Amino acid sequence: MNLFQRYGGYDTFSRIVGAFYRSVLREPTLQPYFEGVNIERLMEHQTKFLAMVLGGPARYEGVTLQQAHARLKISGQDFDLVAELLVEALQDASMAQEDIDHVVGIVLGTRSQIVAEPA
Amino acid sequence: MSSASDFAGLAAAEALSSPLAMLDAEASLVLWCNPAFAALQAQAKVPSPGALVCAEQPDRLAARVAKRGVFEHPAKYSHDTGTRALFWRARRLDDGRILLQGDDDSRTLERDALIQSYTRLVEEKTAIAERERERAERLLLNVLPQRVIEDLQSNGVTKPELYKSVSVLFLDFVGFTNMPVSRQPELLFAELNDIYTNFDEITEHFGCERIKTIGDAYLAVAGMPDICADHALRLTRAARAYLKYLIKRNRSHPVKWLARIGIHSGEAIGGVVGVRKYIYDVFGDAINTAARMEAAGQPMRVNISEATHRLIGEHFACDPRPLGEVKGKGLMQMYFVRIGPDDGAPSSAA
Repeated sequence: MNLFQRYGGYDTFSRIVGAFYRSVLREPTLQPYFEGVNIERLMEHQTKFLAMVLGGPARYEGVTLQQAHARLKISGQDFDLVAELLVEALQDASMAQEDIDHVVGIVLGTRSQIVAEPA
Repeated sequence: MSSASDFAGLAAAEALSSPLAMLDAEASLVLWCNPAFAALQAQAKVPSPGALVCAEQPDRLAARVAKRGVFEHPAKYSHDTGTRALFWRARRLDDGRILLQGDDDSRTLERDALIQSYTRLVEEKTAIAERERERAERLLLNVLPQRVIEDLQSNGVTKPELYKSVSVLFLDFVGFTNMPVSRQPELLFAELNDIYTNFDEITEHFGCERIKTIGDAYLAVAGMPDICADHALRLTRAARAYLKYLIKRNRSHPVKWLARIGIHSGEAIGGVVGVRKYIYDVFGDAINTAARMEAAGQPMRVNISEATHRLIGEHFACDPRPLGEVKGKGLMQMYFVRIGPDDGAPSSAA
């Protein structure tokens, strides 16, 4: 059984992703990035991303991370805040720390593709 | 709580069925709560509001509110009449105190149940599809070599290729048409099916490729479509294993099968032919010569050409035969591979 299944599959992760985006959208510095963005699609992407990272059935099939984030000019500080909020969402869902570390390791690995300026 | 409107608000909160509480800044003390909250706390028998909201991590509420100003968490409570789902929202007020409110979330329960049953359905379907795919792939593997399937799957086509150095093996059953079993269709098929199944296992075990069976003839190659340097060795080992299997089988089965095997090494073309019925087939002079080697052989012996002998002579004890006339080829030097328990080991004569 992979991590995705062990934590309860789509059921769990769609909820985690929901909580994650609510917390992201509460942050004043992050709100501008999401103006006019289809949040539901974003949540779907994010759920698939987590599923993929945790060995679940989905495959991330969007445009490259770089393409998706280029026009947003995301600062390193904001990237780190989002990563932190993701960690909190995973912690709130009682995910084991070592599994959170695994996810975060992969997320941090995408930093250079997402952040538009040197940190 | 001085003005009339405050009093009205308080009264409404008291009457609310959703639990509502005011906590101190550390979320350790309940400064005020409505009856719904008090009832829930009494029933849940937990030491702190934090544990009520998040049983797994009681400190989370205070920590998260201190950091983010907000904490949200779903929780479920089982009681005699069923399960109650609450979605908690904790918010830090300007004066530092924390307002905690739990909204009844029966929709979450419905949603969970729905997602769970849907997920189960999808997982079952996925498992069935996966089994079907595996079955189809196994079936395909019976017809086409693995590499050719991969080619077809990723490129949609597979193109014929010339292989400079491969080995080809023909196996034929001696006196097949005169064997009584050849007039009993069911027994014949059961026998051949059993033998070919075992041959196929041997072929695969030695890293060779079964191309096809034509009646009582069995055609196998090595070095194509997966290229390897030791194709002659692999195929000779397989040949020896076929014969050993037959010897063993003949001891316990009423129908005795005797086979001639011929091996030749050279170049050949491999590719998929057919439109509706795909078959990976091999062509070239090496195929014909291998068939000649088999025809020029003897029952329960492996007859190899000079070309193959050059490749395996160091590893197998072989007996040279007198120069023989081979149809369409003229005089050829051929060898019998010794099928003893001792061969396969490097021969001291080499």
